[in-house]
Amino acid sequence: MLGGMGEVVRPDRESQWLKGVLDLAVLAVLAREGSAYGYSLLRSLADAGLPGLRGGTVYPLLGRLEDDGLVQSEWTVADGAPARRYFALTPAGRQVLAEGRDGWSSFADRMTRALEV
Amino acid sequence: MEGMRPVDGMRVDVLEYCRVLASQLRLAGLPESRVRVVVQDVLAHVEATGEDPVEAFGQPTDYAAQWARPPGVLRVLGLMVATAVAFPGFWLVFTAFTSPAPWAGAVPVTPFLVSMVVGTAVAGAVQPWTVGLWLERRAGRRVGRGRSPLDAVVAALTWAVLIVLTLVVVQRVLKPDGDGRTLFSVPRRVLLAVGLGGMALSFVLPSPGVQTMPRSPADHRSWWARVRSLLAGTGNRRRF
Repeated sequence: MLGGMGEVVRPDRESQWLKGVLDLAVLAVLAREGSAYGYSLLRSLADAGLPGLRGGTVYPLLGRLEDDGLVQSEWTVADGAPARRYFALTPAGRQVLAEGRDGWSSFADRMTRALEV
Repeated sequence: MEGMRPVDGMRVDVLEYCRVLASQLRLAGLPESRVRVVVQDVLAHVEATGEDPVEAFGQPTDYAAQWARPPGVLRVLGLMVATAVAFPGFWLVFTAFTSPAPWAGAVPVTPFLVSMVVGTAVAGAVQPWTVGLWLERRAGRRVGRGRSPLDAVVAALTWAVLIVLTLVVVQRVLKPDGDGRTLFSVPRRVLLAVGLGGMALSFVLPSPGVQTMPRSPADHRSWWARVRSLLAGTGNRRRF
């Protein structure tokens, strides 16, 4: 797998990085799109450069975000189709996203400097 | 651990997957309202993507572990004791209704009745929460791989050993020789109340091997509307 700067990144290392920030990526998708259901959220994450995520990873994460009050969900029913749960950001989620975005920028800058040879 | 993958070319039935998943979540102690949401998310996802549920979520035992810790020793012991208390309720109610003693009087408790209650309690609680639980967790890691004949053999052998052991112990200890001895008497209403309480408890306790589909969280019908729908033969249609 190729990383952003062209180096080969071990998949297990990248998945470790992702574990720490996937919640922010999910919050950011919801901030951009207003609301999304599970599958559309996975597609948006793939479009944003995070392909290959599975439902078994994203739904428990959404559950934890909802427990923490950062997202809220609502069921919608369409004829002949299973009920879908749409997720949307709460004000608390918007605040955590803003803080997380700042924190990530700062961390990424410091890490980039730390990795300079 | 991702668990076992389905056999190549064998597509997993999503409803079967959801039933097994619901059972694993209930055994772990997840509230039923949450079980409905987790299962419905799986259904909606598979419907939208056409993915195999095991490919998308992993085996039910492993996916359930992401929502709740698997049942620990204390929880299993507690449920075993509760089942042992609840399960003989059927015998007590049966005895309360069929005892030839006067209706307002006391029901004689014979060694036979005690044997049946103790035997039912031990067999009904020990097998499900030991071997039954192990088999259920095993089934939750084998969705899409077909049933293992070994599981059926283990279950049958366990039941046979447990029943024989219970009968031997009951014969040796209580000697229910059918001579009509009365150990003590219990007012019929007390027997009935205890029995009905046990029956009610047994309906709400989770049990390994019971794999029922949870109701959709989007189904806001009253319980009476659901009963009418069931009686009309439309209760099992998918309302997801």
